[in-house]
Amino acid sequence: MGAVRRSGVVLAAALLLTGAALLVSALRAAGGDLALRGPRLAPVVVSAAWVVIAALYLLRQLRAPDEPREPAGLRAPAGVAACLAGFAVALEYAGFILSAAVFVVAVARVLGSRHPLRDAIVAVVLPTVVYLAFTRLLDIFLPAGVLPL
Amino acid sequence: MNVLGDLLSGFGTVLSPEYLLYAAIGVTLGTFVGVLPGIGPALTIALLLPVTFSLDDPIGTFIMFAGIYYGAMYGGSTTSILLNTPGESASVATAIEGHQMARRGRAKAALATAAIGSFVAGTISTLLLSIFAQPVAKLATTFRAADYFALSLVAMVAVTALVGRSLLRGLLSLVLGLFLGLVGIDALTGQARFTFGTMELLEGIDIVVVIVGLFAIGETLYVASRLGALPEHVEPLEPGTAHGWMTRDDWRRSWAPWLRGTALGFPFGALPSGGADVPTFLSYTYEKHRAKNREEFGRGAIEGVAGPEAANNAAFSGVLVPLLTLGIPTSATAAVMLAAFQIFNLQPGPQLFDNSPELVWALIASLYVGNVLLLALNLPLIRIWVKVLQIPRPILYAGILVFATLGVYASTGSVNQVFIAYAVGVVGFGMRHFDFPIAPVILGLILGPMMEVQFRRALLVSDGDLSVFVTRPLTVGMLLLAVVAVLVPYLPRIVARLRGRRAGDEPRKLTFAEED
Repeated sequence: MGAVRRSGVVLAAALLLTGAALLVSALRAAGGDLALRGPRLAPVVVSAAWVVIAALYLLRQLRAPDEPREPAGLRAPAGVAACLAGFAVALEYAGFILSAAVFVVAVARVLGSRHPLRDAIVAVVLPTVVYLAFTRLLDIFLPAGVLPL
Repeated sequence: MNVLGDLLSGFGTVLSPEYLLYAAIGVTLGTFVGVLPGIGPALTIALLLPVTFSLDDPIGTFIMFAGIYYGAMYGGSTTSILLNTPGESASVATAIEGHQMARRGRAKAALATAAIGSFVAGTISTLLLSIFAQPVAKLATTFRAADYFALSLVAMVAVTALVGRSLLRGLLSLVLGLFLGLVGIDALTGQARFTFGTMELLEGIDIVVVIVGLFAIGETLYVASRLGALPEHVEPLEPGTAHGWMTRDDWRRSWAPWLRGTALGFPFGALPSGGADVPTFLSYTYEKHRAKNREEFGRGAIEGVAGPEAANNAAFSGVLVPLLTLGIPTSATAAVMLAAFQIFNLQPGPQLFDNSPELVWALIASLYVGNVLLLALNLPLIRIWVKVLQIPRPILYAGILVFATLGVYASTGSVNQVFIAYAVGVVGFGMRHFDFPIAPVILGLILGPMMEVQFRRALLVSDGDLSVFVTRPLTVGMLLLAVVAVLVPYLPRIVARLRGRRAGDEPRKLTFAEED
């Protein structure tokens, strides 16, 4: 309960720190040159605004924290993110069809599918159709990878 | 050049078999993707952008986009009514009453009043767009850099203030968007900003990458975080067509809300107020207050579907007014449309009407055609759309992720950009979880750089004199409007303070929507 209630404060503090880091980076890049017509003013203005708003948000969270929200299950999103990373890495090596097929089966499983056969059929048909439509009909390049297409 | 002649020549272009085919493909694709739960028009267009890369015909492409946009909206109302998962905040009002109607066995009447209302509103508001577009474009030729700066500011601030539950969260979303817009090479001097020494960030962060990341990846991660907690039950259509779609009584109760919704939707869409969110909620509230059978609201009142749906569609044509005549997007979807224009090196704005009148009028004419096509497609094919709704969720989201990855890869040709989209998606997941609105990010990203360029251009003309922003009444008026927009949501509280009420019973901030 306490952890849930504090999550708003932690978020606000993290936002404030991020904003401060951006402001420092912007000021360093400007090196004192903040001409109105120059390219260095806007980053400073935006990151300064970020810092101010995040500070106000932090104050608000400290005084009156948000209603505690349902804690999110993090296992499934982490699983999806891992599948995505694998997909992106494999895309150019294994090719679109193969990597997308494995990806569909894996993600469907993470999202709670209990029909491996159905998933497998979709995983073969969908990427193949998409690949052919994009490369043959629309002339958009997609990596063919290891399959002899 | 008169409007009627221009419009007729637009129809002449659109009514060729080739362009009609484009329009039909557009509305079908749009409806199909729009029906998928959790996908709004902005994401639909972003995902379908790569499809246009190999088309070298801007007119055909924009006819298709107009169809996609309208289709996505029609499809969205189907999802709201049958599944109660509005894909965008403008459908939230429809979801409230429409879903209740469906649960009470009146799904067909709800779908029909939404579709016919959208047709009526779409047609009337397109007519208004045809009439107003050129005069506004003429007026816009007198705008100077300072005015554009002020106008972008109003559009940005208004969306932030009006959408979402908390102004602070909206502003944080906005600065995130402004930051993303700054990443890359400065357009005027070629200096690198916020690239943190990497090559990948030099070309900046593309709007497609951000939209796909926030809406597709972020949404899927969010769904994954609450598996089983989302509505999955699709309300059945009542069997038989013996009674048709709407009874005489339904018609009697629908026609006035359609017209009132249109009257609210078009002007609010045309003003920089964030597109369809505000007018749909105003329409819902208005119909509720004026109804004789107020107790029926919340339990499936047809007026509560007819009004907001009409307002939603009318607002789209309204949004096209500032987009086409000024080049200023006032909603997330308009921002993606602007990106589509830029793919063809077209710059919307006053010159567009002089430089490519053929394109503009073909686009406007295609809106009329798209509306007719949708009316013809939507209701008769409803059983197909219901089938689409029944795609198992794991498969659906796996497919969305494949298309999201494909969309980014096809439009950027780089795996690095795919990873940036994923990273944005993780941020989007956090934003959904902590209730931060998405629309301000998109508008900050698009309008921020525009605003900066106009600011610096104005100062270049004035030779560094800041008074250029306060010497013209038009500029001052718009800057004041931006201030008012921030204050409007707090009006009830301010009034309460002035009347001397205690802090404890302050009314909450006015809100129109929770999410884009």
